[in-house]
Amino acid sequence: MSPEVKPDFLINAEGLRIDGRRPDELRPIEFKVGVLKQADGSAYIKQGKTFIIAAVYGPRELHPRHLTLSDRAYLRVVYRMATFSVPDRKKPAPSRREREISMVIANALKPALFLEDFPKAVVDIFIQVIQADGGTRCAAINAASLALADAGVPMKCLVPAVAVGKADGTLIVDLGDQEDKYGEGDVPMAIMPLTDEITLLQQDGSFTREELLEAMQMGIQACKYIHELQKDALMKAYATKAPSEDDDFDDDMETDLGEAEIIGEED
Amino acid sequence: MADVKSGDIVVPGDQLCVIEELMPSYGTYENDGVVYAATFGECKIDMKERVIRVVNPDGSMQIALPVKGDIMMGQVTNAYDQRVEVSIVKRNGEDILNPFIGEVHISNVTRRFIKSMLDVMQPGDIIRAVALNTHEIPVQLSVVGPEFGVVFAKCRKCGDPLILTTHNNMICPRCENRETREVASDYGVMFGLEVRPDLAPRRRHYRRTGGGNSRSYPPRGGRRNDRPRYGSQGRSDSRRGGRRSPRHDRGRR
Repeated sequence: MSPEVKPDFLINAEGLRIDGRRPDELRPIEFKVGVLKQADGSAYIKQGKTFIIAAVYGPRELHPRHLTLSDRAYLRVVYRMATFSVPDRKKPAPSRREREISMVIANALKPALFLEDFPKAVVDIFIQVIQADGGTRCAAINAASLALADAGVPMKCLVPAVAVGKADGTLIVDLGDQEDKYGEGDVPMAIMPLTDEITLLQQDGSFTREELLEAMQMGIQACKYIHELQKDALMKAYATKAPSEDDDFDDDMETDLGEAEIIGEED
Repeated sequence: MADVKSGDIVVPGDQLCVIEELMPSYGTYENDGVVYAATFGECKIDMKERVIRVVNPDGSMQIALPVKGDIMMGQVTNAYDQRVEVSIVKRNGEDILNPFIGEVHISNVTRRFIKSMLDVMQPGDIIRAVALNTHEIPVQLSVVGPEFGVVFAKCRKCGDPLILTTHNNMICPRCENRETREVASDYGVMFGLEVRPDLAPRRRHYRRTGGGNSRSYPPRGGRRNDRPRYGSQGRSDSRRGGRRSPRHDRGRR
C-alpha cells in the first residue's frame, strides 16, 4: 500500500468533505444482529469502510472468581483491532490504546445496563475491529449495544454513539480516518436517547465553548438518527427469527389433519 | 389502555404502559411510573395477572440464564455432606454455551430422609435436575421426582460404570463394589447400561421366630450402604442385636 499523503484540504470549495459528504452527513451505516452462532448475542456494523463485529457472552459465571461483585454483574469489554485492520500492520499484542478504549466502551455502556440484576455474574463483550477507518470506538459502542440487546441483557435503552470533529474550521459529523488524523480535533460521544443522558464524551484537539456546544448538538442529532437505524436492525432480526417457526408449526398441523383422514376413508 | 398490544415487537427503551395499567415483569422495567421494555422481543400482556413481559416468539426469555422449571443436566464436581456442586452443561436438552455451576441441597433430593449427600451422589456422577430459581448464579437444583436424579455413575473404586440392581442400589460389574445413588427412572439408558435385578443384595429369608424383630442380613463385606437402613444405625442397633442373638442361635440349631 502506498504511503498516505496529507490531503490538501478536508473541506473543498463547495463545502463538501473529501469523501463528498456534507459536514452534517453520516457515512452509510449498516447493522446486522445475530451474526455469530456461538455467542449469546452478536452484531456487526459497517460504517463507511469501518467494519466491526461485537459479541456478547453471558451473563455467565465470572472467572477468576476474585473479580466477582456481590451486588452486580461485572462488565468486561475487550476491544481488539485485527492486525490487518489498518494500512500499517498493527502489532497483535494488546496495546495501551486498546485497553483504554475497552474501558471507555465499558463506561459508556454501563449506565444503560441493569447489571444489578445479576450479582456475581459477568457480561463479556468482545469487540473485534476487522477494518478501521476512523470512528471505531463509536462504531464499537453501536455494535456492542445491539449485541447486548440480542443477548437479552436487560437495558434501559440502546446506546448510539458518534464522533463529531472539526476540519478546516468546520464542524463535521462522523469523522473518517483522514479527517481524524489531519483535522483539528474530534469529540466522540454516546447518549441514551430515552433520557438524553450523555454516557461518553471525550475531546481531542481544541474547541471554543460555542464550537463544543454546537458540536454536541450535532452529535445528539446524529445519535438519534443512528438509534433509529439500530431499532430497525433489531426489528429485522426479530422478523427473520419469528416467521420460520410459525411456518413449521402450520405445516405440521396441515399434514396431520388432512392426510390422516383421507387415508382412513380410502381404506 | 397500554401503548402496545400483545404481539408487538419492542426494543429496549420503548414505552409500554404506565404502572397503574400493568405490572412490569421479565424484560421490562419501571421508571417514574412508566413501564419500559428492557429487552427486545414480543410483548405479552397477561390480563389475568395484569402483567406485561417481553419475550421471544415461543414465550422463552432470550437471556442465557436458567429459569425456574428448566431441566438441566450436568456433572457433579464436588460432594459435601449437605450439598453437591454441579457443573451444568445442558439446559432443556440443548448444550449451553457458557457452562455454569448449580447446587443441589440435601433437602431437594428426595422426600425421604437421607443421612448424607454422599449416599446419593458422588463426584463424577451425571445428573438430571430441575432449576428452582430464575436468573441466578449459582442455580439451585432439585432432583425430587422420578425423572430426576443420577443418570450415570462410576464405581468409586475402579471407575467402571455402575449397574443399577434394584431401587437406588448399584453394583460395579468389575469389582463387585456396591454403592447407592438417588437415580433417575432412566438410569444408564443413554449409556447402554441394563438394570440387573438379579445382582441385588440377597436377603436371608425371614425367620418368624421372634415378634417382629427377626430381620437380619448376611454380612456382606462390611459395606454400610448395602443394607437399607431401618431406624438409626449404631448404638441402639447393637444393643438390640445383643438381645436378639441368643434367639437366633436357638433357631439355627
